[in-house]
Amino acid sequence: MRFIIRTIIIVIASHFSLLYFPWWSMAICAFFAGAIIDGKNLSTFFSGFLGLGFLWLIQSFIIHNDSAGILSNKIAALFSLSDGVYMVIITGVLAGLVGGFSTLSGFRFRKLFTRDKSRGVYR
Amino acid sequence: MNFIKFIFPFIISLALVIGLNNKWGQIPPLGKFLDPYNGFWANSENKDISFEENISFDGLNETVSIYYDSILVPHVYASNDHDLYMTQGYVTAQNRLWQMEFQTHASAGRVSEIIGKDALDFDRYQRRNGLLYGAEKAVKLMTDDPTIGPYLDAYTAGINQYIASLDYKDLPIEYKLLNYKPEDWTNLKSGLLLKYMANDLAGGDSDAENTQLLKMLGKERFDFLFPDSYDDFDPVIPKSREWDFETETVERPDSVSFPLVFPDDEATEPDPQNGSNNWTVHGSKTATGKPMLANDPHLGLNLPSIWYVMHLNSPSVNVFGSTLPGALGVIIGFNDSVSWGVTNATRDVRDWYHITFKNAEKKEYRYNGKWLKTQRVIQEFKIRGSENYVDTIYYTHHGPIVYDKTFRPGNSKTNFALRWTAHDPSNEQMTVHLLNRAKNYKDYEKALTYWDCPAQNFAYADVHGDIALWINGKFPLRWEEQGKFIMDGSRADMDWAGFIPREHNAYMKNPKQGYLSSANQIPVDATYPYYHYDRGYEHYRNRRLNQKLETLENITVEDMMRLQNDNFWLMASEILPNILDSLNRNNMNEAEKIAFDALSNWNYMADQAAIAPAYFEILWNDLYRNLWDEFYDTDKSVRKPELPVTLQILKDHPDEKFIDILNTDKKEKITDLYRMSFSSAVDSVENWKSTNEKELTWSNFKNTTIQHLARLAPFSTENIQNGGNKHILNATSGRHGPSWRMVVSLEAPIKAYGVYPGGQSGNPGSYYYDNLIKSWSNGEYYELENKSTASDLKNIIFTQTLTPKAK
Repeated sequence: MRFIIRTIIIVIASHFSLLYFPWWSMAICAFFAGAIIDGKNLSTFFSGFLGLGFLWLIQSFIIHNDSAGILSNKIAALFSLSDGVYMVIITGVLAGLVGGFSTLSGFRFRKLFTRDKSRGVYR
Repeated sequence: MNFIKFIFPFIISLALVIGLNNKWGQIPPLGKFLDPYNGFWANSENKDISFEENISFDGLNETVSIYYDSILVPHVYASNDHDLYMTQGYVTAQNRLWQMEFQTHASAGRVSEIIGKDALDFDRYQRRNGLLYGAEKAVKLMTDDPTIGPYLDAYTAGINQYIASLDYKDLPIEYKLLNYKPEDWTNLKSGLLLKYMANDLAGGDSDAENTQLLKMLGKERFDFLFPDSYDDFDPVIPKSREWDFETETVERPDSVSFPLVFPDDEATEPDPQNGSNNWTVHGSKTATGKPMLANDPHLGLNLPSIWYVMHLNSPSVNVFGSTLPGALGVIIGFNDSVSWGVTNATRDVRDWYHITFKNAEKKEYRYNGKWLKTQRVIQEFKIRGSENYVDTIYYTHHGPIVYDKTFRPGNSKTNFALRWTAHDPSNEQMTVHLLNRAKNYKDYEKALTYWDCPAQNFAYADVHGDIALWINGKFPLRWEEQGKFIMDGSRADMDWAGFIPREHNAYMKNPKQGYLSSANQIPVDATYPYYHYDRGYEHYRNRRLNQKLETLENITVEDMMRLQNDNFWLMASEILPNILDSLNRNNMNEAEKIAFDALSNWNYMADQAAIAPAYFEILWNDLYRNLWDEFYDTDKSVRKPELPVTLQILKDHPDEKFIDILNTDKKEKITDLYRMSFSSAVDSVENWKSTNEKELTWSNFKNTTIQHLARLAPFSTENIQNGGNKHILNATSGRHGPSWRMVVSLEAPIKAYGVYPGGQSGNPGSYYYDNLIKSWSNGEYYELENKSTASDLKNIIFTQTLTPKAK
């Protein structure tokens, strides 16, 4: 459940942030989402990876598809790739990596201030 | 432990963000670039038009409306000229910003700022050549002009308002790829754009090569191989023209000796194929009884296209045609009364002076028995990824010293100063402004008086029935052969004595023959009383054109279009029969027989599906190379004889010693050269067939390519299916061709048609980036309607309204 909530927060916050701020603002969103919501290393990483990865993947795929690849095919060729859909995949993976590590950092940041559960500071 | 668990992913995140926010070598900052919200994805438009519909605009007096038609030509309706030019700047930038800035950076010698040190040599040449120097002088004159100055300011302000509205998201894709930002536009940039054109069209000369050849060959042989005129020449101004003015004379000095010194390196030259066709036909020869005009300038085929088409309407003007992004008004076009078109007036307007300095300090140089002071100008070059470079340029009264020991060095004795009309202040924008508003021949004549460089053949036709053609520009008044070779910069009698009086420039109005044309050929015949020179007049397009115009009657718009797309290879028709006669089909292998038959049955049309042109092209190049091998194989930088001389030697001078190929033991005859070239052509074509999957046709073989200005292959278009070649009316060769085709019939109402190989949008992510190429290659045209009221416009797909910002 926390995984889903965290992922949704990352997607929504990043979406609105990207409308007004540079691309790296989404890393900050992911970081905070990781810091606010508790979890485990792997689950925080993947909610960042999947959240931002899918956000960029879907957004770029919509553009690729709506524009019939008019630009993505050309950019792909600049990168010596045969089809614009590879740009969609690269875009998604790249955002995923940024998202995963940022969320994980946020989570590990939170952990700096939490004691072991046995000490019972946060419950 | 917890800290390490934090710092590890945190550093990775930070490294990702910073790494992806920066450019790595050729790779753009990937995070910024791939962001679907702001990165390159945001430039994907296809058929969508992403312009803002309503804009509150600073500096406008009244509301301006812009209607975009189905090929994205903007029809601009303004209430005054200030608003009109401001909107022209805005709209042009909205479509072509990157191109506008890149071209002016090239002109100013600032390409290294964008692409790094590889461009430094190019940049240094641009500044040493004096383009920035000339632009600075020109823009001062234009800015101070009470008419043009305020319009230029308005145009600049319009562009800057567009630039100021841009976020990273809105930047043209090239800025994102190369990771830089547009800077503010200035009037100087408009000046630089005009000098960019001057350099493209009047930036070449052969003074150094001629001097080299003079030394190699001697005067008599030089004159034979590089004559000032050809036997069967057909000048721009018909030979029937008589000259009825009092000529200004300039005496040839008694003892002319050209210093036989030259820079060793090859000079930077504009493409020799830059040229154009234009012609105008009198009502006596047209189907409507009213004049017609056609123009197609031939320039390097690039995307975004050099031209941007606009319709500009205000109470003082209703003009339609092609504009140059960065310059005011319409350059080639028509209004309600007149139409005009330009071709390059092929005339040498650049001369070189050999300078002798007093000493190594270069503070003084010898002139007329005295020592004159030089002016020292330090030019700084910003280079991306490297330290700035500083160049010192010395100016003499002739002009800048382009070549010295720091640049393309020969030795310390070779210092060459350039005198060029493009260095002088001039106000070409006034010509454009007035021509756009011309109502009759008198207005046209007056407008031309402001045009200096690049000199152009201005063809003209109007609704009153007049046709005319002026060879117009600022031409030095020279004595015979002055400036053909490098001159002694210390002698005052080597300087230009002045300029040919403007009214003595060659022109013709309403000739008996009923038509006037120009195609970069020799301007006038020998009766014209002023010395004129150029190294390479065109000799084929003009004759083909005039042969057709002479015989055509009841000419229609379709006839004019057909002529612009005419593929007849006149040069081939004048030499190929001689070649074929000397070949013996019985001694040939199968592939050679196929080629021989194709060439024998050829009608000399370089049509796209034909195969003979492919054979002929290689055959001819090889023949030319073998004939002039002495010129290719020398370590000196020399030009080769022009085509008309080459043909004359092949036909009439079998004993010419250059026919022998130097590095063979045999003594070759012309027939040997023919046979060798023929076999080599067949080999080349067979080789092409085995390495290409495409069918052998002329268009596949020549592979016409329209290249992106930054040479990015995916933004370019290859293998365009079109016939033609250089020296053919349809001058479409591999990388060069008709950059705008326009036909105007001055009937009532005026009918006009145009097309160009590109599209109105500069964005490779837009459908409108290259959507006109297909029509262009098919020889099709779009109708250009300059409706004086917006409500009569058809096919409007988008409307933009600019409202004055409340003060």
